[in-house]
Amino acid sequence: MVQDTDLEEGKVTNLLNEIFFYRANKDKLDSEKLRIFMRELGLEDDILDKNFQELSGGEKQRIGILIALLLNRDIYLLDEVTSALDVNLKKKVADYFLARENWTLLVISHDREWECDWIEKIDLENKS
Amino acid sequence: MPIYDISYTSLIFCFFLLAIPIFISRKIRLELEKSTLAAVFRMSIQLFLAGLFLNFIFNLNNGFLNLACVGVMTFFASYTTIKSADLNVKKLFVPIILSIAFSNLAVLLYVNKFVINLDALLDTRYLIPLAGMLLGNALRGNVAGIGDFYTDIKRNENRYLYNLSIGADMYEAVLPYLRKSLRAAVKLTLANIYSIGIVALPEIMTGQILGGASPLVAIKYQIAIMIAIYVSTLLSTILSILASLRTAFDEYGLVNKELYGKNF
Repeated sequence: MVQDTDLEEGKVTNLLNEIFFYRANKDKLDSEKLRIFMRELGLEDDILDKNFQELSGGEKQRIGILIALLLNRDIYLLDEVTSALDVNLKKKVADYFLARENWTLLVISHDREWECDWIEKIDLENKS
Repeated sequence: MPIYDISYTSLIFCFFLLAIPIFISRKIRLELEKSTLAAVFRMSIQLFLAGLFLNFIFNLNNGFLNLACVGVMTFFASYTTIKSADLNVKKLFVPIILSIAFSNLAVLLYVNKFVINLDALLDTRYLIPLAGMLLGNALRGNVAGIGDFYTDIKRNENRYLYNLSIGADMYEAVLPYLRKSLRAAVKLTLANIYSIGIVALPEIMTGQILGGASPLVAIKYQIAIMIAIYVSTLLSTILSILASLRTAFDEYGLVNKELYGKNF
């Protein structure tokens, strides 16, 4: 996942349908999970009928996170995925990912919320 | 109904009409005198030669020769498509010429056989002008379609890569681009079909009516032609894009950078 997700033109529902139409993702769309994740991410139901291009940066980012979570992978590469979110959501998203102990995460971020005791930190600033 | 031939002397009267644009150009310094004369001169020479050539193959009316002519036309249509879309001719020529040749010939022969009910499928009088019309339109559609496709993937490569990363295979990842470019390819043809007969009388009808055919015959040909154009444009564009994918993407599913021309 990258920060500037410039995804499908058209409605968010169409975007979801498209992704879960891929052979690799068939039958992975769990509508119960979708509702739960949406509530957790502070997304209203009517966002599904909105045009993806017209969403705000934060909303786009949350849709990206939503898709990533629904796909339920073992390995996530997360490039600045919380950059446009408010502090509470940053914390919530980071905590959620960090709490899954069987996941492998590679996180690139400026957000302190991703820091925790057991995450291996590579400080790029000092190594330049 | 008699057909009035235009004699060479009376053609001169047509050239007299050019005095109007030249006069206007002089008067308000459009500076179009030279290019007007050059364009008309070129057109006259080109059409004169085309006329001689057509006359020649019409007299022979040899099926194989006709097919060879269509082959040459297809060759140039494919070359022009790739050049106009500013893509790499070497990489794309084979898939594109095969796609254009297959879709246009298939539609053309179908129309000749089942719609016009020709006894000789390769009759010059039908094959050559119909092939010209189909190829001309397929060319326009292909330039819009395949050009749009690769421009879009390049402009928005992130989205393509994102599609790959969330589990799409190459075909699934290009599907949104494919849809968009096919719409672009047939948009003009569809608009033409919509407005035909109201906004303009198309050339084939005008030609047939001037040639002495009844308007009622002319419209039937026109309907057949429009449908044939629509089908062959869509078919050749989708085949061109699908056939080009194999050379256009590397083994990791990334766009081959050599694909794009210098001005891209």
